[in-house]
Amino acid sequence: MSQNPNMTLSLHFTGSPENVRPALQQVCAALRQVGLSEDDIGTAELVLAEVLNNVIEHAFADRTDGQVNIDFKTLPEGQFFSVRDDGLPMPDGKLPAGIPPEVDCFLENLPEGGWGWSLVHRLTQDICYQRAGQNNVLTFLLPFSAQQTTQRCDLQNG
Amino acid sequence: MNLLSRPEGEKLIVTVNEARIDSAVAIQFKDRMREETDGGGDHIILDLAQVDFIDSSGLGAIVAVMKALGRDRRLDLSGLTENVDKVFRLTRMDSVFQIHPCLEDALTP
Repeated sequence: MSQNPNMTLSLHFTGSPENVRPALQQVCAALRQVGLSEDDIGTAELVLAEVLNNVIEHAFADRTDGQVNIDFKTLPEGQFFSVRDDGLPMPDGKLPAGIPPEVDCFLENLPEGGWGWSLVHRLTQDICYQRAGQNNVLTFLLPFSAQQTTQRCDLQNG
Repeated sequence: MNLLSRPEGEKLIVTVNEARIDSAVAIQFKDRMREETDGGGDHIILDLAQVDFIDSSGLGAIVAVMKALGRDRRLDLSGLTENVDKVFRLTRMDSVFQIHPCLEDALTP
């Protein structure tokens, strides 16, 4: 399965809403080359979509010239990502806690958003946010799903 | 945004002929759903079989559509692909919507 297990990718783009889809497509294509399962690629796409949407909406606010870098590399336990942008820092300089919105409520009170960070926290490990000079740097690990781990072990042993 | 609706008995099926409901099209999706459902139909089935990706903006748009329909009209979902189903499960929105594995199932009285 795994064609290029040690592949790294560095992707740079200007942070406007219409650039998110093409950026995600490039990352997914690269992850397919790494040999990740479709399940893991789907998870990576969701996490990165939430992270990038947040960068565009909040870190860049009304700016359309913000710069984003996505880097990844393959580690034995999963796919390691680093997302860097030159936008505004996170509120209070901290990663949002990502408490999922309440759904046991009347129709009128159902949430129409607020899931982004809770999804990111649920699906990643070792997530870390740092302000480095004029940049935000978010790093996290997307662990391989069980199926993928088995395949990789088979590869290493065989 | 390509949505297609057709009545099926008492129900109205709205098929999303798009691969994604994400932040780029969330507002458009809400507007198009309003157009498709304005003509009536108290029981709407949203056919998502062709959608392979939604993010939290897309999910929020689907919830907004259900809220806009109000208490007297019902919105069910059908044909969730694996990635879409994952988002509904992780946000517990699978407990809010009636979700059918496929249209045939959704149309069974």
